[in-house]
Order: sequence, then structure tokens, then C-alpha cells
Amino acid sequence: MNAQDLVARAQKWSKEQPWRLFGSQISILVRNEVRRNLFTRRRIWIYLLALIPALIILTHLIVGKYNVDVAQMEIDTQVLAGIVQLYYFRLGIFFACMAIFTWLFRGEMVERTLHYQFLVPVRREVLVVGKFLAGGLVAITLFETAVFACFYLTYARFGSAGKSYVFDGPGLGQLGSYLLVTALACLGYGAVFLALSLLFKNPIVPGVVIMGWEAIAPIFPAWAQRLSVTFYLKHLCPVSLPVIGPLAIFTIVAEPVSPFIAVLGLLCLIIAILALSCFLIHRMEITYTAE
Amino acid sequence: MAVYKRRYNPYTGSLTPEWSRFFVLTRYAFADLFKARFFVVLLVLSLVPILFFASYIFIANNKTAQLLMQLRSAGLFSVETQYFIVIMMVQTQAAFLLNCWVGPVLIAGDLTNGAVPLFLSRPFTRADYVLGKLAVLGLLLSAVTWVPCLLLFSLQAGLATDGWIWSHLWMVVPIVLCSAIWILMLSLISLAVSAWVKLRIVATGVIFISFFIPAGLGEMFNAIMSTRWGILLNFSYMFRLILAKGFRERSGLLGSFGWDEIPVAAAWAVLILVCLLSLVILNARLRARETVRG
Repeated sequence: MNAQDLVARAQKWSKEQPWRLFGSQISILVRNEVRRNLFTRRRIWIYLLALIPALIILTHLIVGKYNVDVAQMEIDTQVLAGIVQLYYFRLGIFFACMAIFTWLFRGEMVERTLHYQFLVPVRREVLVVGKFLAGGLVAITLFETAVFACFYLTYARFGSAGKSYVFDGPGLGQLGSYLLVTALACLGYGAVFLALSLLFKNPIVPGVVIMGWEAIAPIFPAWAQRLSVTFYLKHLCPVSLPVIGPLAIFTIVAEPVSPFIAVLGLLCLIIAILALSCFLIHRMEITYTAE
Repeated sequence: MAVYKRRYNPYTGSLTPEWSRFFVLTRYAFADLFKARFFVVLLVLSLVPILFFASYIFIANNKTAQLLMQLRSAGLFSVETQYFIVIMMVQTQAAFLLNCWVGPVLIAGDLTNGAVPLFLSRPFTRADYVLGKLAVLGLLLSAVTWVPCLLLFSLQAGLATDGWIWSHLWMVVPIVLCSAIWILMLSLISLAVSAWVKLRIVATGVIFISFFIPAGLGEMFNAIMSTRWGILLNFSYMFRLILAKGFRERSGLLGSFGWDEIPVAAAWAVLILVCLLSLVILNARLRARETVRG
């Protein structure tokens, strides 16, 4: 079979699929999941995880109200970069995505409701995509709000100088980059945890192994670094942080990647992991007694 | 079939002594644990580093082995404070992983299945119940931390000459004390989480989060507020601080902080506070009654 035949078969298959039906099913799934998962008591700790940095900055703003030095702005920009790149990417978004995305299927298993989803006439791939988008929507809404609040509170204390840094300087561009990177981090980690929840009965331990991998990936060759989410996120961050600590001497600096390639690379990684999840969901069997 | 009237006959067999009743729970918990193959593998893996450390001691005390390895500097293999600090660091991390696997199921199963009122309706107090569960983790984590450490210490004491044991005997105290506080904190956090969150998958996640997130928040607090007290939220660092002070080792362990920047009393206070907080949670959750909503 040559390439032309393959393309023709793919086109034929694509035309035969009821995409409109899939779209409406996905939108219903997303609506239901968001309604069930966005504002629940169980999620309070995730809101705290996202908003505690903003609360600390707010405290700093209130405490240091009469002690504002414009020269401090550069240091605060570095601190904000540290908050986004070290706290949010490595811990906050990571653990929140672990909670949100592993719960999408594993939670239904624990609550013994997954069979309802499997009994409705919806393809399992549609279920995976719908749940992934719902989880992504919840995580992105939460963390974009948190990052925006941190950014606003960091520069609000500088008054007019802060305003001119944001609107006349590099501030607005940095905010855009942070928001883009946050959204990509939510989707990237989300895809990883969705796949892990379909692969393992208790995905927390492999999740922590992934966390370790993300932390030590910089000491591996460039091709291996491409298998980590933080590799792509690092290249999109507007302010770079110096590497400190024991890993600094082993760090291999990979060739800089253009923002377009970084976004595309991460999206490709997400699609590949989602495709794996679609494959894994077909093997999934409900065994409530084992939970 | 004829049914004869039977009167109540009290149990006349031998009774478990009151002081060791808690150990019944421990015994059954261990029997359950060793049924899981993954647990056995994890336990064996967490003891593997001890073999490497033992071979290190063997080479350090064997001139022939050093000659065979063509080592020119005799001081390359030395068994001093840094050696024991490294063992403690490695083994306490292994203990953390073991604890994350074992801890979440200890109380959650009893709570989910409504077994706590059944336990407590017997001559068995809540303290006994907690002690029984605590002993599971205590014994298990001891087996990978201070026990192998003391075995290595005695191995070195046996192989070394020139009265090594007398000049290094003080090390037994930090080995036991540092391990004890770490084991107690890990065990109580796990039991509290297990009592609070009934689902294993969530409980495992919460135990990890309770170590990583406060540390991250503390670092962030330090950066924003230009202070150093946020480090108190980093429990692993607090343990390192206690270890460094216990072994009087100034190099390497404290990172960017100075020797006297954070008092060791503060580190002890934080770890003890975490233990007390866990006990408060256990006290609130473990009751001889059950509330059924719905």
C-alpha cells in the first residue's frame, strides 16, 4: 500500500465520521463535568493551592504599603518569575492537575459511577477528550486567575511606576506569556495525569516519579529533555531564572527553541499522550471491588 | 433436632495481657502487608543501599581491597560523621516512600467499613488502637532507618582499630534520636491523613502534598517577605538541620543558610508541632460511634 492509498483511506475515514455528533457530545460532557467539579467542597484545597501565592503577595502589599521603592521592581519581577516557574509549574499546577485529571476516571471508579458513562452510546475516545477538556477548563480558569492576581498585586504596589512598567514597558508581554505558559502547563500535566490514571490503579506514586523526572530532566541530553513538559515551558517564560543548587553543575543547556516551536512541540506531546489515553481506555475494565 | 437451652458461658481461655493488646492490631496489619508483593519489593529495595554502605565499610577497613583497587589515597574511604549523615539521608527518604505506600491504608479501611466502633467495643482503648497502628509504621520504618544504621556502626566498630568505637560512640544518640523524630512525624502524619481521607489514592496524594507544598510555600514566603522563617515549613530541611546539629557537621547540609541562622530548637518545635496537630486530627476522627448522613 503506497502513501497515496493511505491518504485516500484516511480522507474517506474522516468523511465517514459524525464529527458534528462528536462535537455536541463533547460539549455536553464538558458542561456536565465542569458543573460537577468546578465549585465543590472537595476542591477547596486546590483553590488554596492556586491562590495562596496571591494571598502572600497581598499580605506583603498591605504590610509594606509605606515602604515602596521603585528600585525594588526588578527584584519583584524576578520573585514573580520564581513564583510562576518554581511554585506554580513544579508544585501548584502539578499537584492540582494530579488531583483534577486523575479524578476524572479514577474518581468515577472510586465512586462506582463509571459504568453509567460506559453504558451511554458515546465512543470512549469522545469520553476521554470530553473529560480532558473539562479538566483543562477547570485548571486553566483557576490558575490563570491566580497568576493574573499575582501579577496584578506584584505591580499594583508600585503605583504609577508599576502601571507604566505594565502598559508602556515589557509588563503586558510578560503577563501574556505567563498566561499562555500557565494554560499550556495545565494541558500538558493534565494529559500526563489522565494517561497515568488509565494506566495505574494508584497513579500518585508514578506521578511523583514524573515530578522527579521533571526536576532532573535538565541534566539529561537535549533529546531526553524534550520528553518533559517543563522543557517547553522554560523556553516560553519571559524571565529566565538562574539554575542554583546541586543540579546546577550537571545541567546541560539545550539549544534555545523558538516560542512557536515550543508551543507546537508541547501541543504535539499533549496530542500524543491523549492518543495513548484513547488507546488505553479501550483496555479499561470496571472492577469496583478492587478499588 | 432437639434444641437444648444453653446458658451464657464466659470465655475461659487465656487473655492477652493488657499492656500488649495493641500489638494484636500490629500483628494482623503486618500479615496483611506482607501479602502484597509490591510492598515486599519496596521493602527489599529500600534495604539495598545498606549493602553498598556495608561494602564501603569493608573496603575502608581492608588494606588488601584498597591495594587491589589501586587506591593511592588512604583517606578516600573514611567512615566519619559525613558517612552516617549520608546513610541517614538516603534511608529516611526510603522510609518516606515506604510510609507513603503503607500509611494511607492503615486506618482508612477500618473507617470505611465501620470497624472502629467494633474495635473500641472490646477492652481496647483509643490509645491502644492508635498505638497498634503506630507500631506498624514505627517498626517498619525503624527497620530501614536506625536499625541498619546501628548495624553498620557495629560493623565498623568491629572492623576498625585504635579504639574507633569509643571515640565515635556519641554518634549512636543522633542516629537514634533523629530517626525517632522523623519516624514519629511520618507515622503520625500518615495516620492522621488516613483517618481524615478515606480513599487510598487521595490519601497517598495528600501525604506527598503535605511535604512538598509547604516547602514550596515557605520558599516563596522567604522570597516575597525577604525573611528566612518560611523555611520552617520545609519539614525535610528541618530534619536536615537537626541531623547537622546532631552530628556537628557544618558542611553541605544547610544549603544557603548559615550554621546559626535557624535555631535547632525551632526545628524540633516544628516537627513536634506537626506531631501534635496529627494527634488532634486523630482524636477528632477516631470515635466509637458513626454518623450516617443521607
